[in-house]
Amino acid sequence: MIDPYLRILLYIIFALAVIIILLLLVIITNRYLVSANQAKFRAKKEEWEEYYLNYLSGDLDLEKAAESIKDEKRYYWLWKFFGPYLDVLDGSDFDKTKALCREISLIGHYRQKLQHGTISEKATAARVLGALRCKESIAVMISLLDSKHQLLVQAAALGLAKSGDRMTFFPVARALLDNTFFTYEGATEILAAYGKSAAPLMVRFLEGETELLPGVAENENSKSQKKESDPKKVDPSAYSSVMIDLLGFFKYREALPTLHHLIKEADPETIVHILKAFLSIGEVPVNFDLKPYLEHRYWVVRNFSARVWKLTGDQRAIPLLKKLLGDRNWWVRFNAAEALYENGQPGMEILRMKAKGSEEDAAAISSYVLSRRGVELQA
Amino acid sequence: MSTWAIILIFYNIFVIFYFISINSFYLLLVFLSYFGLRSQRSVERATDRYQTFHSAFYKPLAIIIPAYNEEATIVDTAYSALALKYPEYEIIIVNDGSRDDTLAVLEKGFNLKKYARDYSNDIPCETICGIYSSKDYPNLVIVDKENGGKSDALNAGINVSQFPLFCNIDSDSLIDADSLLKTIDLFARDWRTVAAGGTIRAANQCRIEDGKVTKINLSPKFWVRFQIVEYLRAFLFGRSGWSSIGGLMILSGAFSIYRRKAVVQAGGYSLNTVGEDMELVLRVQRVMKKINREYKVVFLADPVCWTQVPENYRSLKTQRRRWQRGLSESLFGNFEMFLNPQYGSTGMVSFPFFFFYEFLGPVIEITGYLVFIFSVFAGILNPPFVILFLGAAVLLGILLSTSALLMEEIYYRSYPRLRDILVLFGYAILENLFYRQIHAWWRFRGLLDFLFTKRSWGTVERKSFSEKKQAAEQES
Amino acid sequence: MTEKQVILVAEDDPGLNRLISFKLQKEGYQVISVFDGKEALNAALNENISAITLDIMMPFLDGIQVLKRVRPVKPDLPVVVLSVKSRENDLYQALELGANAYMTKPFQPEQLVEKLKQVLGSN
Repeated sequence: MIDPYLRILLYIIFALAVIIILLLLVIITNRYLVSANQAKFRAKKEEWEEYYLNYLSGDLDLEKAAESIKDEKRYYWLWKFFGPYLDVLDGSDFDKTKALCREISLIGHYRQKLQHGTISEKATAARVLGALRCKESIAVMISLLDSKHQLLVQAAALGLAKSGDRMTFFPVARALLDNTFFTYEGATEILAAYGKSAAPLMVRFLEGETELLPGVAENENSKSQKKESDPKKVDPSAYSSVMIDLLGFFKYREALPTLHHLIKEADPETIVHILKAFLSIGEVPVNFDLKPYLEHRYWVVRNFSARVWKLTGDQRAIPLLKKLLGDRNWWVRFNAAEALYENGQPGMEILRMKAKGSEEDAAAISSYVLSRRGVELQA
Repeated sequence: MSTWAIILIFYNIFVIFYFISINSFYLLLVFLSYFGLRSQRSVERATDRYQTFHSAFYKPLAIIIPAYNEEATIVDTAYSALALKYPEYEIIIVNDGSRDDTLAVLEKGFNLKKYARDYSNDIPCETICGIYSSKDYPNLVIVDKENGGKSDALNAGINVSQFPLFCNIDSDSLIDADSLLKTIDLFARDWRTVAAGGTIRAANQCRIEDGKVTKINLSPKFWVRFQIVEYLRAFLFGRSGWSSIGGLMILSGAFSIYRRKAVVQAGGYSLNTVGEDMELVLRVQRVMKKINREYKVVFLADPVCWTQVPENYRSLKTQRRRWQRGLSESLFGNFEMFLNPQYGSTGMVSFPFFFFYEFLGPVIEITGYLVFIFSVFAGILNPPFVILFLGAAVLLGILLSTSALLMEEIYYRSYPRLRDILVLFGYAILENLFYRQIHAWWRFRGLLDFLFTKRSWGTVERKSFSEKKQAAEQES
Repeated sequence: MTEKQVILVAEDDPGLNRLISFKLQKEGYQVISVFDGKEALNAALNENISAITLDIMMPFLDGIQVLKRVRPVKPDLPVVVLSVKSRENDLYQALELGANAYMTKPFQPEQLVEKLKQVLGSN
């Protein structure tokens, strides 16, 4: 009789061998299935492309196109086919594509999934409906903003941003900054999908209509107390920074007066955001006085001020720029020197002089910038 | 029964128990990573990759590449880094007092000029002799410094860069733009992220053009193939699994991204270990805990970094001995995390796991084999039992490797021919019949190195940072 | 001119590439499609083309690099660059390098065709 331990071992060995063989079989069949699947998909895509392109150029009408492209079993394939087009097209071609997607029930299918799918399916559905700029799903997506799954909040946020309904801008901003672990950059990136249409609302918020953002206005005091103990909880100024960045990104000139107003009372971080926005917009507000910022105690402010200078061309600031050539921070020195160079002959003269001067830092940066720009320094 | 016999019996039981527990853990990791990979896939499907790639909002990044005696390859490395697409980044090549013409070659290749760039002294490092920028490529910076070892060079790079994120890449690693972006994305999506890394794969005998891997070939080299299987296991279910429970302890030095501030707070890379990458990940976690800041160390399976792995017995042995030593140094340097609930899953699960199974593993494996054999001769264990037990052990090892191959198939399908996967399966079998045992011996030697060799406390390591070269040097 | 004008369409997204090519062909142009920067450069330098639509984000060589290398050799070749809105700096750079017009994605292919006609017409 075989020892019971040995028998157990034999069973185990047998089971392991079977599992290994099964896994191997799965690997082999998976490969074949996937290749076959991929080949099928490629063939389908080619077929669909033919109909789609003809439809877009008007040679095929909607019904006929829908009939040829329909596939009730493979909505995901349809999405993979249309997705790239939806991301890059605009105007009438986009509208036609959307109409086609509606006709083949792509929109219907994903609306279903958005309401009743698994987390993963809902997230994909939000992505799809967002790309389709579907306004009908807005209500459902807003409800997803309160989800405890970051993936859903993120997907819903992006979907809403792409649909472009600016009334959802503030709820989405709030959800991203409050209900997820997103950084400001991550949130701004998603909010950028709203496009310029949201800009006027942002300006209103910055002007003081903080009630546009539900919850922030009331809790503002308690939040600023929380700030010290819990540095990563969202504070209201985070919203301002995000909006300032976006206004810069959209090159929204109309925001300049508001930004001018804000910069006077702002904390250093916000000042930096505003200066960056000026750079993006390519303009500074009328009567903007750069001088206090060139002398600011925070080097990043001085740095960006030097960069903003060329937008002002303010000659009265030249002595300050000259002083900045000796600043203790390298980036500040560099940008001040660059600004002087941009000032043409008088600026270059200053640099030439400093390059030969006795102040080490100023001399080093001046000669570096001059040589970088290909300017000969006389001995 | 004599006391010796009793001791032997107990030790045998202990080895069997050890064996069962380690493999249970591994199987658990396989399951965890399967779900982890699946959820990463669903994030992929729902996320707008297109948007991130073209994002106007980003954190600027510094890519730090330490170099020592790399005159032959440094220009190529620089070009491949320059070919990356990222909105704002700088490449900092740190010439760690090379004895050869590394600096000269760079000067010629990139039209360098000395520049008066400031650098901070956030982390102490050897004297920086000069900083150069390239006239042709404004985002290429070369730091020339006195020799101080790889960690020191990295610290110098961190001092020079002021960008909030930095990426550590080995000089013989290749990474593509997409992988970089996907990893950095983690930092934008979650402010708690302090460190992140991706998968490392062997680029040996793959076709490389313009600093990119254009065709993936299964290397025909014997030793490389074992490593391919190992790496698939280690990354697809090892790190994936640990990351899914928040207990990730290692990020590969070949490719990892850190938040600069966190690393500075932790004091930079340690000069006292050969396993500086793992040691840093542990120490950063400890420091974050101390200052009471939430943190996350994340592994993402999708981004891939290609690197050259040792191709022969000698260099592989040297590498693995060094890794075991590095592991030991990292564990003991951060021992307060052991079974410390303050450190969450890392302290309570992964650290003990690494201690008992990775650190002590080679000792128990080697002694286990010896004791088994001895017990058979002493009549305590009967041969059929030993044979069957070892048979089960081998099959279990094969099962784990096959699971990794399956995950590779489902999620990546990098190897173009089915034949390649079947070959790897063959190596998975072979691995358990002899590679594992040799590997255990190398690790055992590494452990002895740690315990008995005089450690290089602050002394300078005059070795090339490239794995290949390092091994070659140690041989000579 | 009875001979068909040849447009080089450089765009790495195959669907979009086909779409643009299709529309151009409908308008009576002949089209050469390429999907990466290297091919784009090759075609631009060696083929007899009348104009290029050039995507900026392409593998191997981006549109800027291609433009940099083509302009010295073919200074009069009309080029319309195409890129994503958030990379406007790329577009300004392209214009400085001698591109004739630009479009940002998302876009209307008809408008691209119009722009091409314009730059071809003014030649």
